[in-house]
Amino acid sequence: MDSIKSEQADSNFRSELAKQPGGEIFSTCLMCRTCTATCPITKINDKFNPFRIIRLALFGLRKEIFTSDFIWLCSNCYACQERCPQGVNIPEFMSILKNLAVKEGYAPAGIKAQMNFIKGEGRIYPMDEFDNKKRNKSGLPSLPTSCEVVKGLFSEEKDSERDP
Amino acid sequence: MSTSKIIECQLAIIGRGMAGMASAFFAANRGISTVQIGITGGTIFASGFLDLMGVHPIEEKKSWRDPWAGIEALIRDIPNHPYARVKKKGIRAAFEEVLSFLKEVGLPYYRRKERNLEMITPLGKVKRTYCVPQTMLSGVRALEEKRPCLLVGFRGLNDFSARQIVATLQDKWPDLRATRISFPDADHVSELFTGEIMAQTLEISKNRKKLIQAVCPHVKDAQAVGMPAIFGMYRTQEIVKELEEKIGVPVFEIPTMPVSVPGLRLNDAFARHLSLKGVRHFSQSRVLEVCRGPNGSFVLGIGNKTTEYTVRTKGIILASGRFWGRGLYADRRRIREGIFDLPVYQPRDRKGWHREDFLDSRGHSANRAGLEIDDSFRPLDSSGQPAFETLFAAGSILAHQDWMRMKCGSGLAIATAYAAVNAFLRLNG
Repeated sequence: MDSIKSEQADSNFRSELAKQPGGEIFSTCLMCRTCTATCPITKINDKFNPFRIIRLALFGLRKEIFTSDFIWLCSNCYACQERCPQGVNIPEFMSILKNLAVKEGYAPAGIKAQMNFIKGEGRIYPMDEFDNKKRNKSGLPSLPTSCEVVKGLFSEEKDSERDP
Repeated sequence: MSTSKIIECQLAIIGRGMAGMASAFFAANRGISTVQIGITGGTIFASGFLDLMGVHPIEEKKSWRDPWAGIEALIRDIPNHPYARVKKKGIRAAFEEVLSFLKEVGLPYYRRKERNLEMITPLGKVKRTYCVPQTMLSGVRALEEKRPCLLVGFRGLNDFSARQIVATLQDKWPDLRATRISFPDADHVSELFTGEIMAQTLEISKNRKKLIQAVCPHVKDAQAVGMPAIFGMYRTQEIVKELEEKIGVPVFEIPTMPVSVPGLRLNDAFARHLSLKGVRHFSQSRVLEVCRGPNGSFVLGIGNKTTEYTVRTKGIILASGRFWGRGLYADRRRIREGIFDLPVYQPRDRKGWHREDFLDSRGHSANRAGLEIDDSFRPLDSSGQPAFETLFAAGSILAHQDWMRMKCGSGLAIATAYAAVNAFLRLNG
C-alpha cells in the first residue's frame, strides 16, 4: 500500500464532506478495516479499498480521491455498511464523493460517456436499429431508440437552474 | 413520535453485541415476541473464545485453572459483581443452552466443564479460556503436549505472523516451526485482510486444493498444523476435515486480530437463528426517542438518522455495552447512560476515573462504572429502587465488573442475558 502524502492535504475537505447529507458520521471510522475485509471488489481489485478511501478523505486528500478512479469501483452492495461497527454508511459516503467529483469535473471518461448516453438516449446502453432487427428476428417488438421523456427531464432541470 | 410504522412486541433488546444477541436468543427460545435494535456489535472483533472466568483479583493477576472456583472467590470478594446475582446454576444453564444451539447450527464448541483451556493467541501469548471453537481443539492439544507443530502464515496477511508466534513461544514450545506461503486466488492483490472474503475463498474446493498443495511440503515431522482462523464461513467443519485428511495431521485455527472470522461466525449464527425465530431486527438502527406508554410499557422511536419505526413494547433489555458500544458515554464531568439517563455507578469525580499509569495492572475505576441492578436485573434509580418495572440490563453495561481484565466477557454477556430474560418472564409472564 502506498504511503499517504499528508503535505497535499486540504484541511477544509473533511468539514466540507461532513456538511453533506449523510457525511457527518464518516469521521467516526475507527480504522478497524471491517469494510475492506468484507468488500467483494477489494478481493478482485485492491485498488478499491474502502478503509483507505475514508482515511484519504479524513486526511483531506481531495485531489488524490477525485483524480483516481477507485471511488467509481464501489458496487453499492452494502456489505461493508452491514458490518461496520460504527454504523458508517460507506456506500452513501462513496456517493457523496462521486457527486462532488462530478461537480468538480473529475468524472472518468467512461462515466461521462454514460451520463451523456442517459441524457441523449435515456439509457446507459443505447438501442439502435441493429438491436431492434435482432429483437424482431426473435419475435420481439421494436423498442424506441431514444427516450424523449428523459431529454425533457434534463431540459426542465436546466430551465429550473436558470429560473430559481 | 411518528406512528406511521408501528411495531408491537413484548420485549425490545437494545444492543447487537454478545449480550444483545444472547438476550434475543434466550427471549426467542422462550416464545417471547422480540425486536432487536442496534449497530453491529463487537462480536465481529472477538477471538471466538468464550471466556467464563479467568483472572481475579486483577491486582494479583491470579489466573484460575478452575473457572467455577474463580467465580466463588470473585463473588466472595466482590458481592456486587453481576455473577453473584445469576448464581452458578444459572450460569451453567445459560452456557448449556448457548453451546447446544451452536452445536446444532454447525458451530460446535469444546470445553472441559470444570476447568479452563489454554490456547495460543495471534501475538504468541497463551490465553486461558472456557470454550474454544472445535476448529481450535487440535491447537489446545498440541500446546498441552508441546507436540512438533507447524504454523502457517500467508504472504500479504500482515496482521498474522506465524514467525512472531513461534519466536514468542520458543522457550515454552521448542518444536514449534513457522512457514509462510501464498494464499490461493490472491496473487493479484498486495494485501490480505482476515474476514469473510478470505474465509469464503476457502469455501471453494479448487482453492482448498491449492492450499493443501502449498502446505504439504512444509509439514515434515509436524504432528499438527495451525493456520489463521479463516477456514470458511459456513462449512468450517467440513473444510477442517478435508484439510486434515489431505495434509495427514490434525489441523487447527488460530484466532486472528480483528476482523475475526470466528467472531463473524458467532455473530452470523445468532443473527440467522434470530431471524428464523421471528425476531425483528432493523439493520444499523439506534434508539432515537423513548417515552412511556400505557400500563408501564415503552414507546421507542428507532432508525439510523431519523425515526423510521415506532416500537411499542412491554419490556426492554438494555444490552447497549459500555463506552465502545455507546451504552455509556463520558462528558466533561460525569459518566452517563445514553438512552434513559439512568444513574451510573462511578467515582465521585473525574479525577477518580483513571490511575496515573494507563497500563496499571489494577485497572481503572472507570472500567467498573455501569448500572447498578436489583436481583431481577433491573437498573436502579437514585433512591435504590428499580428505575422502571420492566426495564432490565445485561452485559458489560453492568457495574462492578472489569470483564476485559477479569477475562469473563462472554460469560458475563451470556449469563446476565439469561438472567434478565428469565426475570422479564417471571415478572411479566
